[in-house]
Amino acid sequence: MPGGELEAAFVLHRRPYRETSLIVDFLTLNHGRLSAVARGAGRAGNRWQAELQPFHPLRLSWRGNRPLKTLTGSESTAPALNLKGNRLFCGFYLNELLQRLLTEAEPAPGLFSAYLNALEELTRADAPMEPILRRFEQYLATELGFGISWGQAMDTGNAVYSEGRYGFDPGRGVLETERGVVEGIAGWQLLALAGDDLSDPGVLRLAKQLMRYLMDHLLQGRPLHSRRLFSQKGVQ
Amino acid sequence: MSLSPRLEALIDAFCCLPGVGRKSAQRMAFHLLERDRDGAAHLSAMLGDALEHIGRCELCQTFSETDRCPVCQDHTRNPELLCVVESPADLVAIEQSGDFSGYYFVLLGHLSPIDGIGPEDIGVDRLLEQIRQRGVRELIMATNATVEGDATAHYIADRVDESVVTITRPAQGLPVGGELGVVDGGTLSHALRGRRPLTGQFE
Repeated sequence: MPGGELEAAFVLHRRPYRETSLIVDFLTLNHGRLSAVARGAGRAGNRWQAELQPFHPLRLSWRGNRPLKTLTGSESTAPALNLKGNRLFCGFYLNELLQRLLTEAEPAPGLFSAYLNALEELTRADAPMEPILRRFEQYLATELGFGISWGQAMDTGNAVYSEGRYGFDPGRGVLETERGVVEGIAGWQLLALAGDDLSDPGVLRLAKQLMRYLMDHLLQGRPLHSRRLFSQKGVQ
Repeated sequence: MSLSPRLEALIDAFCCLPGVGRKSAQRMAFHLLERDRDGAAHLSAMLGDALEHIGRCELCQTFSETDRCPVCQDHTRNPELLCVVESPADLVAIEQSGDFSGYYFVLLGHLSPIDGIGPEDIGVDRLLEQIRQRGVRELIMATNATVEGDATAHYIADRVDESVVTITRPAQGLPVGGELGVVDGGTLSHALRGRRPLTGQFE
């Protein structure tokens, strides 16, 4: 970003490029997802090797007009967020979602703060992981234009009432009379989702099921590998 | 300028090496054909030979010419220690340090979901099998000090029965001869968190 301030960013993914460089995908505050070549970052002892790691709050500068930029500078603004074990896998899951679903150079400032919030919550050992993931998925879907209005049936336009039974289709949302991929969802559970209340275990399970359909719909059949990392007993 | 088809094919073949682009590939091809035909014949024979005879050790997955690599065949080693590394190069580095007397397991990579590399791609099941068969007591997770390396270490640790096997990770900290001022923040904070009492360290 020529002449501007340094841009807040997180590394989503890095892959080797030529002998000693890396191509790094970032989530940035104002420029959405961005790919840049970090020259020399693959060389032993290069400062970028330690710095350009996922979950490390960074500020970046770059140049270039093409989609693939050249990284010109980076500084670390805080120590890397300390994610361990399953929480680290949750972080990978968020990165994989962003990497697969976000178009390059599509500004998404809200998404950046949602991502930062999610990571910060994941570092807190007492915060349950699943609601964090579900909220982020919802936010991401909304940002991509696929947000679901949990409180309204899409086929009839009626508001969801708590005693009703509803269907769900990832492309359309809540359905009252038409059939969806999931059937017989209790209205009160949808209303809990609408109110962002994930405290009930049943609602949380439902959110997981519906969000999985929604994410798969957005991914259009591309696989999501981080799901495989979670152990049987695990989360996600 | 158009080159002969065989020459073109040779140059293309050199391009498969890491860090070798068209220009370097062309230089290599011309050099071998112009000045070093014996060297070229030798290289070609060695490549063929290596491909034919070098496979993977059935125990630790490292490169080996025999079913079992020399390290795995060495019965003087301590079977209770198993060191997990990402690549054969890591194995060589640890061997050269001379401080390790157990056996190895080479993952040939690390978990990286975005790249589609999952547990089955790095042989986690084979590793678990090894741990049972060898009667391992300590598993040293010497994967790289990257986020993916940490994730790999944790994933494996999660699947090992910790009542039988102690799982350790090499310390991270200041490099020998390193000056404090130029060490990056992440390394420094690891070093500080992992500090040890001074007494007894120099024995």
